[in-house]
Amino acid sequence: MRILIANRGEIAVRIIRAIREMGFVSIAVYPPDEKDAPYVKMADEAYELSSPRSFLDVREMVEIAIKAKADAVHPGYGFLSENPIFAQALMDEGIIRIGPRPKTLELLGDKVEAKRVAIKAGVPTLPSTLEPTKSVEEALAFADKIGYPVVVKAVGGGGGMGIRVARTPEELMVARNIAAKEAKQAFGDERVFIEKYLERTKHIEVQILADDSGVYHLYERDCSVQRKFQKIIEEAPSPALTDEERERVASYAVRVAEAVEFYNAGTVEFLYKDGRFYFLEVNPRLQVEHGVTELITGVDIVKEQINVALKGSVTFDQRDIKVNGHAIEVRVYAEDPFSGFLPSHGMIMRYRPPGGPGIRVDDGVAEGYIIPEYYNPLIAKVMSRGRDRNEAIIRLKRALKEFVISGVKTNIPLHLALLEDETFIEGKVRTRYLEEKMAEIQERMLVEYLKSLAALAVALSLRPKKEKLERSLVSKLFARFSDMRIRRR
Amino acid sequence: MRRSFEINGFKVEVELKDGKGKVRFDNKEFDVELKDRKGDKFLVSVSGENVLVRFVDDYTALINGRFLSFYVIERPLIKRFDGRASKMETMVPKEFLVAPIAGRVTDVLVKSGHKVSKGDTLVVLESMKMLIEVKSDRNGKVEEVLVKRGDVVTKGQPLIKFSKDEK
Repeated sequence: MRILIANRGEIAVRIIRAIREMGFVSIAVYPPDEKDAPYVKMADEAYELSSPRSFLDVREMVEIAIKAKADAVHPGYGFLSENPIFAQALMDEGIIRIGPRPKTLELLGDKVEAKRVAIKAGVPTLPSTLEPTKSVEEALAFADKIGYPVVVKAVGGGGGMGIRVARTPEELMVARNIAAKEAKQAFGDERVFIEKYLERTKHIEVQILADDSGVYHLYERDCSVQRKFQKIIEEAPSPALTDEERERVASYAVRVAEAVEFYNAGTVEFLYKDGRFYFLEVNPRLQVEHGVTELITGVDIVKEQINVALKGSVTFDQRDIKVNGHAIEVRVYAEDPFSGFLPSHGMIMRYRPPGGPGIRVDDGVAEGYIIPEYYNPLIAKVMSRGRDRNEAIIRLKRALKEFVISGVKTNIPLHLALLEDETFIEGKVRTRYLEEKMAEIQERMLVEYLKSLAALAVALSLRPKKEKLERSLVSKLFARFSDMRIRRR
Repeated sequence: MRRSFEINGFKVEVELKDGKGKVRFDNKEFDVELKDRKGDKFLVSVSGENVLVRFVDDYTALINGRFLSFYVIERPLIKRFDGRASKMETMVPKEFLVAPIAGRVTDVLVKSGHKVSKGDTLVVLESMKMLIEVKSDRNGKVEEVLVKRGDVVTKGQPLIKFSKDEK
């Protein structure tokens, strides 16, 4: 069995690992300037694409799958993973697509349509237009009816793009235009709709897996720590839910999945506030944060995806699924937390990811790797598992402190500040918390960092030059890199 | 003893006498004291908090259990106005709103003469496939718009010039 991965970076590495464990052949595809990336080197075979944009090119991707004689394609997340045309094109060529059916992708790709299905299945949702709004006037009139704040969402949206909150009619006019433009750019579909915006909610999502016999769930993840609608910390189980609520949201998720005849892996997203859940959308693909669910349930979601695609069945029973301990994940990005979280591009000079008890790192970089400018600057996902949430937090902090990365700036200082935050420790973080508290958290992060630098500066001042440690060959090489880097600045 | 560095992009000034003194950053200052030293291991009190620094190599230190990669540029104490120093501190006059990131201008929402308030979106940039709203950092009046839709701008490039008189 030959499986092609229509993706790159850490998720390509993750999928190659699953393919290898199952004894199949892994095939990577890569843009010209990524031929040395770890995922390319790790795969059994690799094929070059024509450009970085090829990951979004249905025709080129199908052609390369044919050329590579792939039996199946795993799309990962993002790129073409939710594209029904790609799914259909593969099917037409007799290639198995690891994921839901094209028909389901089409239905779920339309957020408004998905909401209608959920309502029909008796799952609660937030008030919204049940058609895309055709004009600014229509949007304003609807917002007036349900009351502000409202959120403008792309009908074909996802990943935090094409979403804008508006608290006044003036804001709504601007928000609608920006969301539509962003949506057009990202998804080629500028339709937007208006939904009631709930303040201070928890973002709860349920992992589902479906095969020929039905829909299974792997309980929920809590992804409430977000910045600009992008998830930063994810954990499982949610520290905010009671056991009754945990079962209730899982059953809602199964109900929605059954209503759309869902197949393979997906995630059903909800907002949670005051004991109530509101259905948001279904993501018909593997999620970035699937690892935390794997850590607490022991199920390898990627292997299950492949099993479902090839044999039509998962390898577990719902009865087997128990929540065991607690897992937390942080996304380490190449961005500068001290100047507005702008992407920090450049070459990774040194790289030593953490390890030890209860730590899992899913990454796709190595020393000498240059973070490309045209993709999301994710370096690694660091996950921890503990017997309880407290142990998971302690382990994650320990791991982040062990992480050696130089050459690019990372958001690790922000994660360390967040893991020390009282509201986070109490498990009470709601969406928008970061926006509200950002100034305070950033100040704390800065002071902590400057204290370290102050101590380092004292030590550097007192350490005579000749007393420097003898340079190893590696550090000599590194010195040349870092001199080059300084000259470039 | 006075030393001046740039560590990881932060300007630092150290002033020490008999192991005691101050460390200054652009807008923060800490009282410091060397408590103990053994070879490449330093125990430094920073604002009364003990911080243990161990050099792993010339580019990595273990600071209170955390590996910190660093690069250091030694800075002369008296600022010399040579080409190098001026390049490191390219100053943009206060009346400009600059691009926070390199990207392409997808929208300009104001014209010269417009009055704007702090927080208003003035320019929208596209970068990393995201739209970034560049917001006004003040209440004021736009004197000149320096970019147009479709322009490619670099980080730090002025986008809007504000009138000097109205703040």
